[in-house]
Parts: sequence; structure tokens; C-alpha cells
Amino acid sequence: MSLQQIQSLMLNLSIKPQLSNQLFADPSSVQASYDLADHELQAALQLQARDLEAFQTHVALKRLNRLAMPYVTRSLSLFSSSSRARLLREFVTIHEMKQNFWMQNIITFLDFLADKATGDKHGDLQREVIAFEKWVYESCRATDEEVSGTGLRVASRVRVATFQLPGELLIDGKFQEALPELFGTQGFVLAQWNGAEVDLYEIDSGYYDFLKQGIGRMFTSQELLVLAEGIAVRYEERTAHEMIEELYEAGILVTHGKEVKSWLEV
Amino acid sequence: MARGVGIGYRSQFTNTPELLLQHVDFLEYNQRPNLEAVQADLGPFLGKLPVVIHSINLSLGSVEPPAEQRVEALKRTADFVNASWVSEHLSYSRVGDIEIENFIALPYTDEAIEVASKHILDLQNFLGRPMIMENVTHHITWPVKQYSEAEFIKRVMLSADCGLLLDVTNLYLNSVVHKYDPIEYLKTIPRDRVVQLHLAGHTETDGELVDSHVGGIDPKVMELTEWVMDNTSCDAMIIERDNQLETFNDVLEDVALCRSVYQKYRGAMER
Repeated sequence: MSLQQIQSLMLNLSIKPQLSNQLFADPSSVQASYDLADHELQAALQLQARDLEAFQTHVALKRLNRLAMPYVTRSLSLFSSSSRARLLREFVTIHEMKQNFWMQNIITFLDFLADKATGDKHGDLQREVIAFEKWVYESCRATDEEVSGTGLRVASRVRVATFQLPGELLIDGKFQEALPELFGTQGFVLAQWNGAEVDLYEIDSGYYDFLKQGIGRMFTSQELLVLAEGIAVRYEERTAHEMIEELYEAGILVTHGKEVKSWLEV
Repeated sequence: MARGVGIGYRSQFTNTPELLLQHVDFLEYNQRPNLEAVQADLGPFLGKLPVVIHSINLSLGSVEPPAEQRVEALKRTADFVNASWVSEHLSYSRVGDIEIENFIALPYTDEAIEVASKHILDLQNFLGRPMIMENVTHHITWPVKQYSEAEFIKRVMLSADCGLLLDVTNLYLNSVVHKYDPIEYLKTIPRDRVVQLHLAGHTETDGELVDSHVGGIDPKVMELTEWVMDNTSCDAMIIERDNQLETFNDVLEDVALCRSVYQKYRGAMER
């Protein structure tokens, strides 16, 4: 019995679900590929197919858990446990990972999950949650364009988006059975990369409109106030000053350059 | 020398060093290759609490020897904290260019004993410190075996002249999944080789028991812990927590539970 052959076979089995199918369907080809003696092949054939499947799922999940899980956890939670296991094995069959390459595969994995979302309403719901996680991952890694000059601006690495589910629900990711009933409720989310992770906040439509127009631009205090007034008037929930003050205190609006006075002086 | 009730250091404890100093007797630190990071994490504790180092990626059961730079980094850390001992897993996770994060149980054979023992002995000599090896959870083992798991571990301990880091939760989970008697297992292990324990809560998901390192150590795990404390020379417990963890306060209940068992068999620690 050669430990080298056993370890090579087991490690390859752990990351290649197709290899276990091959082992039982065409054992001689596996014997040749892994240079197994007859008694080693006979031992390998004593492994149970369902144990190997559980093993492969376990390895894929643990590797995913290591770094990448926070970026896909909401999407995965919408699939049943058995579906998750099947999808993970299918994904790692297509995208073989000799080392842990999950971080490089997050978008590919979310796209893969979106393709697997089935059913009209449930599928739409799954795709919306997956779109949210994809947005969180992508938008916060996109670097800002260089902004020159002095004034007020939306802080760097801030993104806003709207989805067909309440923002709080998407952020918490604690999806209840009521989730299908809430699908279609427009939610607004702000994301900011803080250098280590993505901070997520639920915002309302007023702030969404304001920030959507403000991101990537430099404002004088007066220009900012004009923009905020237009939105505050439209929503009649707060004054322009209140809106700017709240964003300024939260660090979402920041001063850029040396000239700027506090917006409160406007 | 590390002894008593300790905790596996986690980043969630960074802001409350005084709580750790108040409640635990030693720390277990997961090896990080960057010595500056080690210093930043452990600075408040060095000289105040003994530290042991837990390594996770040497794959000492692999036929190939462990990566040199990892071994050297481990020695730097162990020397820096003057580790009472260094632990690793009795398993393999690497072959050629494949490396996984899981610990695969070795085949229970003489060849595996020989390979693992050589790597442990070499490492122990290089580090100049005692090595202890941890039993791992496993859902799959190589079907052809010469020994039981416990007999295999015993032979490695004796052959490599190392200690056992007995993960009591892993033992309990394996005994349930593979339907064996954990006490028989424990009786096989030389009593003087059990150096340290790992204790953690586990979960059950879709009928599968998972060593999830949550809070709330199972009473059956604590029963086995009592047996170990009553029948072996083990003098060190570490609580592992990776989930349901925001601050050190979250582990206080498990610390108190382990402290009560420790004191029952070893008396109160002078602190």
C-alpha cells in the first residue's frame, strides 16, 4: 500500500467530484491515472459514493467559508441544503481549485447561482438577492474616478442601489417565509467599502436620489444645497439642511480640499 | 508552562485584554506567519499569560515534508512567545500542487505512522519544543486499515515521542458518526500523553453533526472531559470559539463550565 498514491487519490477526489463518478463507472481508468496497485483500487472501491459526495461538499464548503462566504451567504441561503450541496459540487467540477480560489470566483459563482434560480416568482426573488450580493461585491471594489478641485463630495467607495426587496431584509439576510410576499417592495441600500469589509445601510428614496446624483461630483456648498432642496421639496420629509447634516455627520458627505467651510455656514 | 483553562485567541478579544487576563490561565494562538501581527495580537499578554501555538497548515501526515518557510515562520512565532508547546493536526491536506483547508484522516497503517512520526520528530527537533498532535473529525477514512483510530494515534505518540491534543468535541462527534465507544478509545491512549484538550460547541445541520465551534459545550462532551481529567495527566483545557462570537463575554459561560470541571479534578489555579 503506497501512502503517496492514497493521498494523491484522496486529495484529487476531494476537489474533483467527477473523479468519484469515474472511479465507480470506469475504475481501470482511475487505476491507470493514479498508478494504483490492484489492492489499492479494490480499497478505493470500498469507499461509499454518498460518503465521497459528503466529503466533496464538506471540502468545498469549508474552503468557501474560509474567506468568501460573507459575499455569497444570502444567495446560498435561498437554496435548500441538498441543492446547495449539489450546486457546490457542480461548480467545483467546472471550476477546479487546486488551491483555494474562491475569492477569485465570487462573481462567477453568483452568476452560476443566478442561472440555477428556477421558478417564476421564486426564481425572480433568488435572482434579485443574487443581484444584490453581486452589486455589493462589485461596486465596492470599483475604484473611484479621480476628483479634482475643492468642495464637498460623496465619500469615496460609496455606492447606492435599489432592489425589489426591502433594504433592511437584504442587509440582514435573515430571510423569512414572508420573503416572497415582500418581493416587489422597492428597497434602497448604501454600501461603503471601509478598507476591510463592506458596510451596508438601508436608506430611503430621498437619500437614494440625492446620492445617486451626487456620487462622483464635486460641489460647492451652494450647489449641494440646491440639489438637496430639490429632493427635499419632492419628498417633503426633511429639509435640505437636515438631509445634508445627516449625511455629513455619518461621513457619507465629506469635504475635499482646503477651501471648504462647513456646509453649516451655507 | 501553560496549564489550567485557556482560550483560543480570536480578533474579537483585541479590545478587552483585561477580561482575558482576569478569566483565563493561558492562550492558544493560531499561527500567523507575520511576526508583527503576532506581536500586535499578543503584546498585551506576553509575560502575563503562557501561550501555546496552534499550527494548521503543515500537513505533517503528507508524504512530502512540510513547506520550509512555514516551518521557519512557526519557529519564529514559537520562540517569540516562548510557547510551552506547539500543536498540529494528525492528518494531511496537501499533495503536489493541491492543498485543501480540511484535515483528512490518515490511513491507519504502519506507513502513515512512519511518515507522520518522522515529520513530527523533525519538527520537534527544529523547534526545540514539545509537539502535540490533534485528533481530527472525519467523515471518510481509507477503508483498508491495520489499526483502530485510537491505536493509530497511540502508535504515533510513542513513535514520534509527542503528546496528544485531544479535541474532545471531535472525539465525541466521530464516536457518534462512526458508532464507536469513546471511552474505549480513551483507554487506548497512553494516559501520560494527553497534554491539552480542545472543547467547543457543535451543531447539527440536516442530520449532520458539525464541529462548528459555537457556544454551549455539549454535556456529553463534558462527561468525556471529566473522564479525561479523572484518568489522565492532562492539565490544560482550551475553549475554541469561531461562531456566535462578538466579544469575550460570549465565552464566559463556557469558561466557567470548564473552570468548574478543572477545579474538581485539579483544584484551583493560583493566579
